[in-house]
Amino acid sequence: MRKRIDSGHGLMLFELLIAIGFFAVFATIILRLFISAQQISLQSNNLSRAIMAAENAAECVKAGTEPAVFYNEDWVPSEQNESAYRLTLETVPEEGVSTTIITVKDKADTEIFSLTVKTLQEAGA
Amino acid sequence: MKRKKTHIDTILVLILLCVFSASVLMTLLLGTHIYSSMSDSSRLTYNERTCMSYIAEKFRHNDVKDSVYVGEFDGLNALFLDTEEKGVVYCDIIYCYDGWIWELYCERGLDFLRTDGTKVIEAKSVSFRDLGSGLFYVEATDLDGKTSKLNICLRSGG
Repeated sequence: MRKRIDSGHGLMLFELLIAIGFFAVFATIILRLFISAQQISLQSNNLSRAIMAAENAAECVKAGTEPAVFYNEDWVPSEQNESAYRLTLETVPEEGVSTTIITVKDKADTEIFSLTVKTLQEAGA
Repeated sequence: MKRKKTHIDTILVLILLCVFSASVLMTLLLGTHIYSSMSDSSRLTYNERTCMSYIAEKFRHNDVKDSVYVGEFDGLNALFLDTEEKGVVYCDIIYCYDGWIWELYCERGLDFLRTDGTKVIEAKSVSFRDLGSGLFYVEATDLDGKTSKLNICLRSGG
């Protein structure tokens, strides 16, 4: 018994196991943080791109031209079958003012960003 | 027998040490990879948004009828923004040359070279197009080759 307690290897093994245990606990927490940070970064990037796409569409609406509606994974205007993001434009006609609600959605139909544009209508238009 | 047990203990400790070291290394590498990808993404977004915001603000600031137009400056596609001060018309010229967006503020009609301007933001290329009806189209490519597009509709009608 006395010999076992004095054994340097047994103590080292025990110390290592404790160290690995602590490491495993903290590594789990840190990895979860890393992954959530990456997801937030991706969401932030997507939101930033969605805002730019919606602003571009708003400018086209103001100018009375057709905006790009479908965007691929890299937020480049694309065809409908290659699209990963799409814009929906809903126009609500009011007296003197035309309101257009531009919504940017992803493939899963989840709303990323929405923008309301009000355009003054010329008299008689 | 005792000697054999000591050997097994030593090997076990060494294996555990190796597993521990490998786990630490993997966590560090994963962390570095995630950090660098986030940092790259943030830098790209910053470059892109800063460049586009700067140009958009220039348009908005000079949103006066017939004072914004696209033309050629020293052989380069450029955006011209005219302003009148005390009867003299000055022109703010924005163009891209040698990996930078340059800006030159000068009296209209005077001849200047592309190198006379001031460097503003790094960019690979920028092109301006007047689409009519007061709508302008700007396409900028940053140094990483990423292209961003901007539509600007002037309230004044261009």
